[in-house]
Amino acid sequence: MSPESLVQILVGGVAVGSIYALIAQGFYITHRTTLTLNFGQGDFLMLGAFLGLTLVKAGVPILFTALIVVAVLAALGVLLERVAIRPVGYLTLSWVLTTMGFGVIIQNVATAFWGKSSQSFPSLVGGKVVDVIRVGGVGIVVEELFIIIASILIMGGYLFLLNRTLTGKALAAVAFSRDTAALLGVDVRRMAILVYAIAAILAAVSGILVGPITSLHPFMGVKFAIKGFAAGIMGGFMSPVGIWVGGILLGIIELFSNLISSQFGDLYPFLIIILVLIFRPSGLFRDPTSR
Amino acid sequence: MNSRMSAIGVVVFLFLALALGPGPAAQAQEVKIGIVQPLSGIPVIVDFGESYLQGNKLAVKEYNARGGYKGKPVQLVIYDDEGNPKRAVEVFTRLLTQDKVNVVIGTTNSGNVLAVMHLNQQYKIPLMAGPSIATPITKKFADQPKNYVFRCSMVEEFQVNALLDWATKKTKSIGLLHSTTGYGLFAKGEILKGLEARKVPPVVVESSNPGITDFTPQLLKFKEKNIEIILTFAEEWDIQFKNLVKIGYNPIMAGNWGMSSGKLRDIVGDDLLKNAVMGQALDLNEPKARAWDEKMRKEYGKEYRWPVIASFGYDAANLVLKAIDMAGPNPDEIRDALERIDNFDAVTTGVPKKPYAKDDHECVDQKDVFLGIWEKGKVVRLKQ
Amino acid sequence: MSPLRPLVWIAVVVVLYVLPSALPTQYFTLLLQTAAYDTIVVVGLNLLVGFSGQISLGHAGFFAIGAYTTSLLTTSYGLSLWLTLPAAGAFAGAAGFLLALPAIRTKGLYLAMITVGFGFVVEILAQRWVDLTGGTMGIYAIPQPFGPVGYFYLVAGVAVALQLAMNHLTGSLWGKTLLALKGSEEAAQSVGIRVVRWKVVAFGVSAVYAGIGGAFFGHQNGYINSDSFTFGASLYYLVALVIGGVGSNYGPVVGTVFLAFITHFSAGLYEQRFFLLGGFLLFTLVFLPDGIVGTLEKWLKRRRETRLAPPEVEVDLARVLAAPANGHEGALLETVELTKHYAGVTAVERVALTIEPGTIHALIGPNGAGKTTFINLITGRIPADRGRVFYRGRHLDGLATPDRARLGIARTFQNLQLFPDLTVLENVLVGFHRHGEATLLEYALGLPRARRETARHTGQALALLSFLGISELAGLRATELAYGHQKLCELARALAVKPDIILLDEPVAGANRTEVDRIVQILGRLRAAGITILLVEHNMDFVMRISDRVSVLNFGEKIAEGTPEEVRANPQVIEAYLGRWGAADARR
Repeated sequence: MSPESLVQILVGGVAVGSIYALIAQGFYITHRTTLTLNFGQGDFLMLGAFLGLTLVKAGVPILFTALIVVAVLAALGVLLERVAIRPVGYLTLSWVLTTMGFGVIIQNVATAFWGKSSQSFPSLVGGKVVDVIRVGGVGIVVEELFIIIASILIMGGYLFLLNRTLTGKALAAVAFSRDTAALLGVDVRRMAILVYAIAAILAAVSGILVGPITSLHPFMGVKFAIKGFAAGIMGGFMSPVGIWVGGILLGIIELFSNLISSQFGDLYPFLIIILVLIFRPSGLFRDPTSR
Repeated sequence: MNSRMSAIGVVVFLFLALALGPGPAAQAQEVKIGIVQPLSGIPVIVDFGESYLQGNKLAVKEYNARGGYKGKPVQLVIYDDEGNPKRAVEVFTRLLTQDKVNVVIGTTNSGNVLAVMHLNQQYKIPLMAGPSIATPITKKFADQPKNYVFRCSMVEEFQVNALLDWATKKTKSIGLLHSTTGYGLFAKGEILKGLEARKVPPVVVESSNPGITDFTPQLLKFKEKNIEIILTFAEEWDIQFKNLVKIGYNPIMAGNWGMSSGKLRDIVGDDLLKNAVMGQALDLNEPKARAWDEKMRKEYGKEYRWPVIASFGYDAANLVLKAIDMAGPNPDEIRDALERIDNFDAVTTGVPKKPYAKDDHECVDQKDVFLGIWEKGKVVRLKQ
Repeated sequence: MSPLRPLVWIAVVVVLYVLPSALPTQYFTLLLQTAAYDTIVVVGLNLLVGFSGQISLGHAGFFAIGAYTTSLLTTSYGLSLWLTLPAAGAFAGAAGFLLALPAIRTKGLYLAMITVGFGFVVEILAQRWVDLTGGTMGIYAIPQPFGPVGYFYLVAGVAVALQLAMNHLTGSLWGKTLLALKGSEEAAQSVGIRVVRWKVVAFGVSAVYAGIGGAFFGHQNGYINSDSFTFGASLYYLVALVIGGVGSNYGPVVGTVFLAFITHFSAGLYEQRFFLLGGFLLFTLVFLPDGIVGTLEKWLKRRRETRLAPPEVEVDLARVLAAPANGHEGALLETVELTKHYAGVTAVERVALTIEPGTIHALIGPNGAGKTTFINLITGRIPADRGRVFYRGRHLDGLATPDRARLGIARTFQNLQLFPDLTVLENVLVGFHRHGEATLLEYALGLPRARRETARHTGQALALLSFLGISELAGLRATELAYGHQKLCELARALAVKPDIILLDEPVAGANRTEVDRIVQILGRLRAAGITILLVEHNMDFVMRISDRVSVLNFGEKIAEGTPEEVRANPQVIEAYLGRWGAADARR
């Protein structure tokens, strides 16, 4: 295999990995604060993509599309917290199933509106089906570039939020000890709503970016959720850098596994994750603020 | 939680559960056709299932509009098998023992058909298989006095032969990309055998796993060997075409009838499909096909997206209805009538006037299958 | 055991016998068979999730292993069903053990991920390893014995038997032990429960059940392929469990049957089905968080029964506590240069402490002096950076907490770690853990040795509770007690270990004058019975009254040691406390 081809695959791996990182980042903020996460995050992403698709096809400029989708999904995220998280508590695993149930409902609303088949999503820039940038002999689709950049920006955003802002400190405080934080005047309930809204916004942005380069259909969310979850776990759920690295790693492992053995290619990522967890039960990176 | 609220919750539940009601009640004298298709799950499989069902439904609708069977409309009992054999067995058993249908049409996954066929054979209720394409389906019970399994669909062996005949004449630079699903592995076996028989071994063979998001590693391997024709038997064609653009590679993609899906064209556009060649049995250049195509478009609008699958579904239902007209509602007699049908007016280009015989339960034969290409938004016969 | 119980089971058997005739089509018989083996799987899952507190999102993997084992053994080797069914369970169980062993260090979501990964690995192997499994084309001609109705009787019979076995397990001390470690791993370890082992066993048993369920699936239709072992299948079992009621004995069967109902009734509505399923799931989880059975149980105000009927036996305390074998000369517990650093903070610095047997030794010091850390070092909860702990002259390096407990070192916790799912009596019963000899199988089958042991320990537990004055609270949930009584309950549990030395972390924190007096009395009697005590406390009055010897820590270092009077007069000590004692002393 030529070096050029290897670089091509590496770039592809980073791109796919960035998608996983985006999902994991959506898990991160809610898990950090409430020890729960939205297992239907992939379905939120799917909904974001479909909404974006409809608006773009209706001629709404991309920026307004993004704003509308973000607003709708943020509202949905708040609803999710109210309906599927708050009533069931954080100590049991019921929230795993309620958020999944919510996701299933979203899937079926989507099939009602958009049907069950795959859809086309035109490129975000220009009207071509696939918009490719070539560097040397290596091609990268424009949206892939956007996704890579977005995931890095979000990681940076998290680091900034948690280390530099007061809200971030409040979030970390709630994660550390809810009761203490409440006693110190942090509005714990509002924090929970906030993080779920943020997670939903991330899903919205990811959806619009991911739409053009993936097979878009109402049941695509589960696959992304599992991969994103795996990426976050492998990297270490408590660290913003960890989940990003986890995502990128997973993407690269996935593509290179397919290169080495296309028959069992999707086996290796799971085996590797299991191995990583055996030796590092809390993921590769540890929580930077751990006790 | 307030226990009274919980009580109300339980009651509401039970009420909803009962209100959904059991399946359609069994009634004597009415003709019932059971249909099983995957109506949920992997999108391309759902496309198969829904498209075939569209054809079934239109045929039955027209039949009922003409008066139905002896003045009574024919009923359809439709179940979703989710592409899952366990579910398929459940719904087939339900149709055959509970709903007591007169004949069954379906399903898409060949594995599912193979798992349930023996039930039809056991209960002596004919099965019109489709759009499943695995070759052995109609052969399994062929040696019994009465074979209850028929098929109105493409047959894998036929389209593979058509493709290989054409491809091996065109070039020796051939590669194979197949998925690791049952279908893909089965196709791989058939293709490797066929290529060997034609003395053109494949230069590169690659596989892909279900749920794959990026074919770049595999496609690069083909590109490096400058493969001219890639036989593609992996279902995610939209991703393949998009990846080809990304790596700047332009081979001929030749595959099964899956590439004739309207959804695929929606996603990748005419430009990318310029070099696609696929197995076909419906030539939309033919006037009869065109007329029917228009009818479907009127009936289903944008939901209608896969002409060749729907046309087989349409013909399948009409064959069954014709047999019912000839022989009445008795399933055993329907079976016999199917073998006798002559003078059938099919929509699918490849289906002859007498589709079946005692030893032939396929509605198309090798000679009826041809290759298609995309032209101006429709799939037409490739002129060779 | 209620006299109604056998009648109820007989009624169940009769109903099962009659069902296929009441629902005469083969379709319904098929559904009944499916419900029966699905129930087996979910009963096993209940043990894992509801009792040991672990999660599995990949149980379809064990189900698959069971199905393939029996299918391959019967078709390729012609072995009889009666051999292959247990083999299927065994293989699946082995897989469960093998998965759990390395996975057991992971917790919560991380463990969930491992199980997800496992499920996918099995599914992928089933699909691709065509030579072995037939892939998606599958395995044919699997024997279907006894005809549809007969097969249902077989599966239902096994399901009933396995449910009974599970009932025994969970209702017994074995089950209570699992609940204990689900409630507080730390406390469980402190009474000698080797948590890792227990979790692995729970995983294994759960996998065995799933494998047997899978084996029955294999023979149901004469055909299996890899499409049936998806992530969705794993979720299905979990959903059935949660809807039925996690942790309740009959939650699994109710949930399974309920889901089967919904699937049946909604089959015709192929457009809306999944919408309905998602809606039901959400609805149940929000409005009936304990599941159907759990909610019913609460509604009928039934307390969680302990099948352990307490016999009224008054036993001599000294016999209960089995006076420690004092065949050892010299100090019972000794630490040498014990050190623990955290980033930027030295918690314990080169502390040398010697505790003589049969004494009450107090460890005092200002807040943050390192006292609790010191206790944690002794029990092995945290590893020391430097130094060693000697017990009866032998060092404890490398010994895990449960093993130290089994040597006779018991403790209580500053922040109370009672087992929330258990009653007061059960909390203490679990404390007798290291004295138990009956095995898993004996508990599952309700064999005599298990029952005798439980009865004996129950008597002794009541004696302990009596001694502490809280025996009338034995049947209450531990969390329902007043704070002071909870502390006594935890003390009883620690005493159940029959320790040589007991480490008390702030035994009178938050206690009023009367309660303090009581504890003083209790400790005095314990000392008289030969038990050594190390206590960490802030209440100086209490410390002075009861201790034989006092050591003082400040900023991790030992600054004074001696009799209470000596320490009280020590200027360094007074200074460390900023003279507060001096003032208190003047008032006396």
